[in-house]
This record gives sequence, structure tokens and C-alpha cells, in this order.
Amino acid sequence: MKTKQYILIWLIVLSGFNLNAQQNVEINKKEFKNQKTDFKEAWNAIKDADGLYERGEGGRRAATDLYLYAYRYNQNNAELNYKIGACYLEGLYKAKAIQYLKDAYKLKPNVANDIHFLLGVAYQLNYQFDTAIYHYNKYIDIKRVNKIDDDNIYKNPVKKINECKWGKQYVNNPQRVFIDNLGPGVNSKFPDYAPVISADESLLIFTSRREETTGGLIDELDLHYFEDLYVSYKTDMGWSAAENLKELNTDDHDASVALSPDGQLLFTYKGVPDGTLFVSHLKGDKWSKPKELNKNINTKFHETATSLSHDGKKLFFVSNREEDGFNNSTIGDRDIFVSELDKKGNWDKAKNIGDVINTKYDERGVFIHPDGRTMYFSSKGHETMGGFDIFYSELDTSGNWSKPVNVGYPINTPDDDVFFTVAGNARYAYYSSAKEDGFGYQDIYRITFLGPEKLMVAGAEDNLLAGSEIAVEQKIETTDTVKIRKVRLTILKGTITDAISEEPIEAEIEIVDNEKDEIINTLNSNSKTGKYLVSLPSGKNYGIAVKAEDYLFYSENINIPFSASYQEVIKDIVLSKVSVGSKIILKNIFFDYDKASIKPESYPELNRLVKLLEAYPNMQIEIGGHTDSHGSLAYNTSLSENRAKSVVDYLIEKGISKTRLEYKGYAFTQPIADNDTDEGRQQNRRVEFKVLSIK
Amino acid sequence: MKKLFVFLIIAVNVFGLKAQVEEESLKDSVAVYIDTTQIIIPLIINVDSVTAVSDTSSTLVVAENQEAYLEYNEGIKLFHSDEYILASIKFTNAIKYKTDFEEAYYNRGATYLQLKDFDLALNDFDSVLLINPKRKAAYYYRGLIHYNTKNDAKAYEEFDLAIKNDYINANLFYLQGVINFKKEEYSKAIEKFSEAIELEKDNYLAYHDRASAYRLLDSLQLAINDYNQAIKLKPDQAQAYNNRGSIYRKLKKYDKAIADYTQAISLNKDYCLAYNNRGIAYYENKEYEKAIEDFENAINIDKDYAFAYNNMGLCQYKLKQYDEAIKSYTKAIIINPEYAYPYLHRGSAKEMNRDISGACQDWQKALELGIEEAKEYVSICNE
Repeated sequence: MKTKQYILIWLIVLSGFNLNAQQNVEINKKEFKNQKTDFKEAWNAIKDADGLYERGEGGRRAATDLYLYAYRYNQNNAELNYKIGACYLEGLYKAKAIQYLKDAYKLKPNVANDIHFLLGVAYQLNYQFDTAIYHYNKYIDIKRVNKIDDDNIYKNPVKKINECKWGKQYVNNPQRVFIDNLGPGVNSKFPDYAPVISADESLLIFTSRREETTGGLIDELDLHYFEDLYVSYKTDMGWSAAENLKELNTDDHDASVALSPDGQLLFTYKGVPDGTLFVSHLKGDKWSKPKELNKNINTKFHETATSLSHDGKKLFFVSNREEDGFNNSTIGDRDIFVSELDKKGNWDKAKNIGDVINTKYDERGVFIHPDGRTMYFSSKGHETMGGFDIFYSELDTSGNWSKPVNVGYPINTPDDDVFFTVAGNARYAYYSSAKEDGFGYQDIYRITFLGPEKLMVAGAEDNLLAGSEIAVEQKIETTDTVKIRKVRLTILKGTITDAISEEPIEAEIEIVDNEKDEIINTLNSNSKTGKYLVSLPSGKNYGIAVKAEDYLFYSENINIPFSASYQEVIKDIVLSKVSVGSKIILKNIFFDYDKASIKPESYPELNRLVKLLEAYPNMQIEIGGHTDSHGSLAYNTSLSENRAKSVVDYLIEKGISKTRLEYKGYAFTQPIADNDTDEGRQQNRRVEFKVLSIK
Repeated sequence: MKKLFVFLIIAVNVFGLKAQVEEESLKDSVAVYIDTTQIIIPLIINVDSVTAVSDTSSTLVVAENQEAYLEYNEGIKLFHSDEYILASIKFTNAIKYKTDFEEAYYNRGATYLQLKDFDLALNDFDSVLLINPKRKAAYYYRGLIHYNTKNDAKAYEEFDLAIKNDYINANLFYLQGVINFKKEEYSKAIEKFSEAIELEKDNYLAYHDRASAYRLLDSLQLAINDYNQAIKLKPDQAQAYNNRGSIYRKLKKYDKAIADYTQAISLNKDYCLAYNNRGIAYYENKEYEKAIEDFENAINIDKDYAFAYNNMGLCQYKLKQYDEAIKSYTKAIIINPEYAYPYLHRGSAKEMNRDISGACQDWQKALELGIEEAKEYVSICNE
């Protein structure tokens, strides 16, 4: 028998209406018995059900079945109807609770003090908000009359009434989305949930409880197979058939919680010993053994969800710890925390991200978008329409999170909505949901955000001058505006290969903020495929250096204005081995206009060159200056030579021996692109580095 | 001697009468709707003023140029018998006998005006003003002629000359207002319509068109007030109800809008625009089935009414009947391939049908036809 574990799905999906929320209602044996036949079996079923009820979701599911068995014997027992309704409220099919709770009330209006509260919940879950509000108000009256002092924050009818009001608003202004089941290749008749994707949606990892689970065991607590991780790849034909991630899965629960935007780091969750987060690296086509995150992240409390920032420097996660690493008390039961990488590359003390996001209610799932400024998370607080709703908040330039915004209906429902991951372009998102037309239990769905209602203009005209036959056309716009977020992000991706063999290379990709001379992120291309993916939020001049051992580095400059919207740029990179005659274009060296003076944003590139020359102390090089064809040859020769000399001077200043360095101005004699276009001329204006000898 | 005496008396009477009638003409304007495809605005001709000198009780009898006056008097009689062609011949004969015969030119001009022969009429009023530059009414008629020949600038100029020469009437101001209106000078138009109303308190046209000018300046309550007045003056005019309905619709007072459109339709069963407008009111009030019914009514009246097809598509889209909507938009496009919005809308319907490439083609076409909003829509097309 397995030890009790904190299964991810329990900690998230089935928490909408907790066990303590209901009253303990006893069924009176005498009242229940209405005929001799079958009484014994029915009564035994009730007793068994009462025992199972306390044993978690699986127990409640079994309890529901047993109560329903007893119900066939006597449908007119108020307490039994109440119990069945209460069971349904804690299962996947909550809407079924209504009829039983209604009957319970009809049979005995005082069957339980909280009957109106439960009815309110049932109607709220069924989108009958006005009826729900009626019952919550009735519950308020009963509490007042009976002097019930209930301090359960989740059993607060005033909060529930507010949820209903929000719910009405969201349902009346639905988000325009397509919600598509990912199909039988991904989903199964078993629970499939917790999808995580790479920023470009090429890779999907999710959790499933299907029968081929590693170890083949069923968790007695919920009667489902143990959680395993599965992967699917996006192809031209759709999603590939899900494959079990054998190298990661164990006999215990193994659940997916986050994937880095480039799909190279996977964060997983294990229920033992007490809800713990792990990380695994993709090495070629295999995932490394999951490594437990350090003690700043994992504690004796439950850590259940996490998300890595686009630059890999911040880890957001959810925990029910009592205080953060700076002795700040937790705001609610579960809050979102953040930890930053320290200088040694370890996760530092975690900090509570504050009460703009965290509430006295629970926060659970967290997802940091690759744009670096948007957080999606789930909360039972804020303006939820019931249970956990998904919200987003944006980071302003001062580093403050904005007031969370509900992502709206139908993504959010009155039930719990937690697992949510958004593609880099923010046009698509993935989540899991238990829908009647699914394959069974939760399935994974893709949400397509259609944005605001497209412009709709009615054609109309009136004769505005009396007697005139000339009609004046009116423009009647009838668009209901829906706010849509604009993603300002560039996804740069491609493959890094060897110039001669064309074999993929595992290279280090360094992203530099040229203006701040600061390394933003360092990541690696996949060793087997050479693939890489970098998320570049708009508003910076990026220097990108690709380095691999024994290869000349490759540099790229990408200037992305703040206003630039989402784009995907595919850049396949070819690296040349360090050898005589090999050369590279130094794309991150910038000069003042028409001058040879080097701009400060060139220093990161120049310093890379210094490091390369230090690594190869016997290497002799030539720095070549090149111009476009504007201007005379004499002028351009002088300009290009002076610029090459400026580079050499910088290298000498940094300690590189003068004897190793040559420079030459080539003017426009060696163009690499068409001088008739702006783009071509820009490419021709360059500084090249050439290996002359390696002794 | 006797004859000469008579002449003198009559001559005095004639000039006295002329002055009197020209003043009265300000009060006695009669609206005449000229039914011609070339005339786009109701022409208001003060018949009394045109025929002032031809009052039968003032038949001229003179000693000299007797033939000319005889012909002239014949002409006047024929004019009053609506025998305009014959009248014009008589006036021409009179002019032959007396080449500077101002009244003959004036009345022949009026006759040509009735015959809608604007060039000849203009020549005659030009002649009148050559003979007597102070004949101020001639400026007004020249203005009318220019107005009816769509030379608005020249018409406006002539009306101004009439005003400068102290010849004013409600119709003159009204027509100046219409010209301002057509030039989208709505504030000026309102001033002119107001002058017309000042001179003629029951001028339906001026109230109606001033309402329209207020409407276009977004002074909706003032517009409603004027349409109310127009309706009070002429409760049988469908147009004012329709136009007031459009203001109520703009104010989202759909019940009132629908009531007005319905009244307009009851006054004019073939009022295609009113059906279309009522359909839009229903559409905006989310009563899509009723809206569709009205767009169908509009199409039954005018099978090539592209707006109604477009609008029907909007309703079908809202009812999630995307295939039907696509068909309706396509009909609008077939009728008018340059009508941009049905392309935009059809693209949106195709998007809902998951036909993204079809949607993108339509959005691209809408963009080419000048709908800037489509630029954002096509941005997803390369994903």
C-alpha cells in the first residue's frame, strides 16, 4: 500500500468545495426504513458510504455510488438526498447536485442549516446565478436567526453572492475563443491534465492517469492510476500520439507543472514526501533524472506549481509555507512566491510576491509568459466567479504587478480553473477541463483567442434632405469591444550546425542587453537536434552570441522596438571551427555615424572577442572594416580602415598583444549583399574577424 | 388722346402692382415639386411673382408698340391657361416688336422655367437684368435656374445678389441652406434654414432639413425638436418619421425608433430604407429574427439592395448561422463588388467556420478596399 500522497490534481482541481464545508448530517435508521425488502442492503450501503466519504475523491466517488444504491430503496429521505447532493458537489459532475439538494429541502426544509448554502453552490456551478443568490441570501437569514458563527472563509455567503455577480458579468460578456479538444492522440478516457508547452507550441508535456502508468498501480485514495508524464509533438498533421516519458516516470505520482519557454527544462511535481518540485534537463532526446529544487523552494510545506521566467533568472512557485525567506507572513493558505538565481546559479531565498496578487484566499497555478511581463495565475480571491479562476497581471516598468484581471468566461467557470499555459504569441493557450463531450474525466484543450469581436458595420442610409432622392450613407458600427492583450515578444528559434559537417551542435547562447552591457540569459541548444529557442521581449537592442568549444563564436544583433508585436524569427546558425581562414562578422559592433569611434553598446561583443583571443593565445587575427557603396572609394577605405583600427585599439587596451592583430579597410570591395537596398547596404557595413594563423 | 390717357393710368397701375406683388411673394411661396430625374431638390417657384405683370385684370393696352402689347397680353392669357409653348411664342412675338420689352423677357423667362428649358430661361432673365439691373427678382430666378442645373456655386452667388438687392424670401434662404448642407457646411445650413423659418413659420422643408443638419452636427435633441415640428406640419410625410427614427436609434431608444420606422412604412409601403433602418434597430436591440424579416422586406422592394444583404448577414452571424451569413455577404458583394464591409464580415464568418485561409482572403480584400481595421485581422494569417 502506498503512503498517502498529495496528488497534484487533488491539490488543485478538487478543492473548489472542501470537505469541511458541509454539515455532518446523520441518516436516521427508523426514518430511512420504509419497507422490509432490501432495507438491509440499502442501510449497509449507507454505512459503507459514510466510511468512504472521508477518504478523498476516490472515496467520495465510491460513496456517491453507494448512496445512490441506497437511494433506489428510498428516494424520499431528506438526509440521503442531502448527502448525495453534497457528494456530487465535491466530484467532477457538480451540476447533478441540484436535484438531490432540492429534493432534500422539499422533503425537510431544515434537513441541514446549510442546505441553502449548498443549493446556492449547486446553482452557481450551474450558471443559475440569480437562483444561487436567492439561496445564499436565505442562508444569511438562517445564520442570523440561528446565530451560526461560521468562520470558514469559503463558506461566506456574501463572497459567494459577489462571485455570482461577477459570474453574471463574465457570462454576459464572453471571451471570443475556440476551445478544441486535442483529440484521441493526446487525450484518453482517463484523467489527462496539467499541460505545459514550449513557447512555440512545438512540444506538449502533460500528466495522465491512464492504465499503462509506470508500475501499473492504482491510487487507493482516488481510484485512478498513478500520475505519469506524457509528451506529444506538434506536427503538420496535428499532435503526435502521446508517449510516456519513461525516463522521468516512476511508480509514484509524477506530474508536469512547468516547461521553460525553449522546452529544455521541465519542472515536475511529486506528492512525496510533502509536495515537492523537481527539475529535469533535456539532454538530446532524453530528460535528465529529476533533481529536487533547493530548500529555498522546497520546504516541509506543499510546493505545487512553478514557472520559470523567460530569462531563466526567476522562479515563481506556489507554496503553503507560513512565511517567506524574509520572514513575511503568508497572506493566504497558498501564495505565490518568487526566487531569483544567485551569483552561483542557485535559487535564492523566496519572497512572497505581495498582496496585489496574493489574497487571503488560495492562489494556485502560476505561469509566467515568455514576454517577461505577464503572469497568469489562479485564485479563489480577486474577482472570481467561483472556485479558482484564472487571472493575469502585468508587470509595469517599475516592477509592480497590475491589478489582476479575470481572463473571463468560458475559460473560467464557476468551478475550479487552474492549469493554464499560454503560447508565446498569446493567441493560444492550453488547459484541462472535464467536459461532457470529452474522452473522459479531464482532457487537454487548446484555446484559440479570437480577440475582440471583429468590426461589424451595418449599411444604412437616409434621405436627409426633404424630397431628395439622394441617400446619405450612415456608418453604423455595432462592435462590442473586448479588450485583448497585445503581446510584445519575439521568438527567435532555429538550429545550430557545424559549417562543414552540418551536424547539430550543442552551443551556448548568450543573450546580452547591449545598452546595459548585461547578460540577460544563457541557454543551450539541444545536443541532438541543435535546436534552440529564445524569448526576446520587445524594447531592447539584443546582442546574441552563440559559442561552442573549438568554434568561432557567432554574433547576431536584434533590435526590437518596444512597440513591436509578436513575431517568430527563424534563424539557423552555422558555426565555423577555429581554423586559419575562418572568419566571423561582428554584428554587435556599432560606430558613431560616419565616424570611427566605437559606441559603448559594442563592448559586450568586443569583450567576447577578447575572451576568444585569450582562449587561443597563439591566434593571430585580422580585423577587416567594410562599408557600403555610398561615397568614394578613397573615403570609404579610410573610414573602414579607421574603424578596424578602433577595434584593434580596443583589443590592445584590453591586453591583447599588438603583434597578434592586423587591421585593414576594405571599403566596399567585398560586398556580401546588394548595395541597391537599405537592407543590403546595412549588411555590407560590417566589421569582420579573420583567423590568420594559429601556431 | 384717350388711348394715351389709358396707357398712363395703366402704366402707373402696372408698376404699382409689380411692387406690391413682389413684396407679397414673400408670404405666398408655393412649393412645386418638379418631377424630373435631373432635379434633385424640390424646386419652389413663386408662381405669383413670376406672373406678376400678367394679372389678367392688368392687361396692357397702349398706343405705341400696340402689336407688341397685344402679343404680350395673349402670352399672359396663355400662360395662365398653362399653354406654355404657345405663351412663349407670343412673348417672343412681343419682343420682336419691342426689343427692350422687359416684361416680355421676364414672363418668357418664367414660361421657359415652367417648360424646364433652363438655358432659354436664363437668357431671358439675363436680358431683363441688362434692361433693368434693379429687377431684383431676376437674380433670384437666375439662382433657381443655376440651382436646377446643378450649378450650386453660381446659384448661391445669384441668391446672394438677390439678398444684396433686398429681395428675400423663404425659399431663397432654404435653397441656400440646402447648398450649404450639400457642401457639409452644416452650421451655415442651419443659419439659412433658420432664416427661412423666420420668414415662413410653417416651412416644412426648412424644419426637416434643419433637423438633418442638427443631426449631422450631433445635436440630436435639437434635431428631434425640428423633426417633431416638421411632422406636426406634415404628418403624412414618411421621410420625417424615418429620419427621426434614425436619431432615436442612435440614442439607443429602440422602441421609439421602431415606432417611427413603422409609421414611415405605414405611410409608404415601399419605403425600402425604412425597412432597412427598422431592421438595424431590431439588430441593435438583439432581435435578430425580426431584423432578418425587415431586411427581407427591403430586398423584396429592391432586390439589388446590397445594404440589406450585408445587414442580414450580420444578424445571421449573431445567430451563429455562419453559412447563411456567408451567403448573404456574398450576395451583397455580387451586387456591389466595391462594397468593402461584406468582405470584412464574410472573413469574420469564415473565421468562425474555421476557414482561416478564406477569412484571410476576404480580410485582405477589405483592406485593399480601404478598411484599415482589416490590417490587424490579417496579421494572424501567417501564423
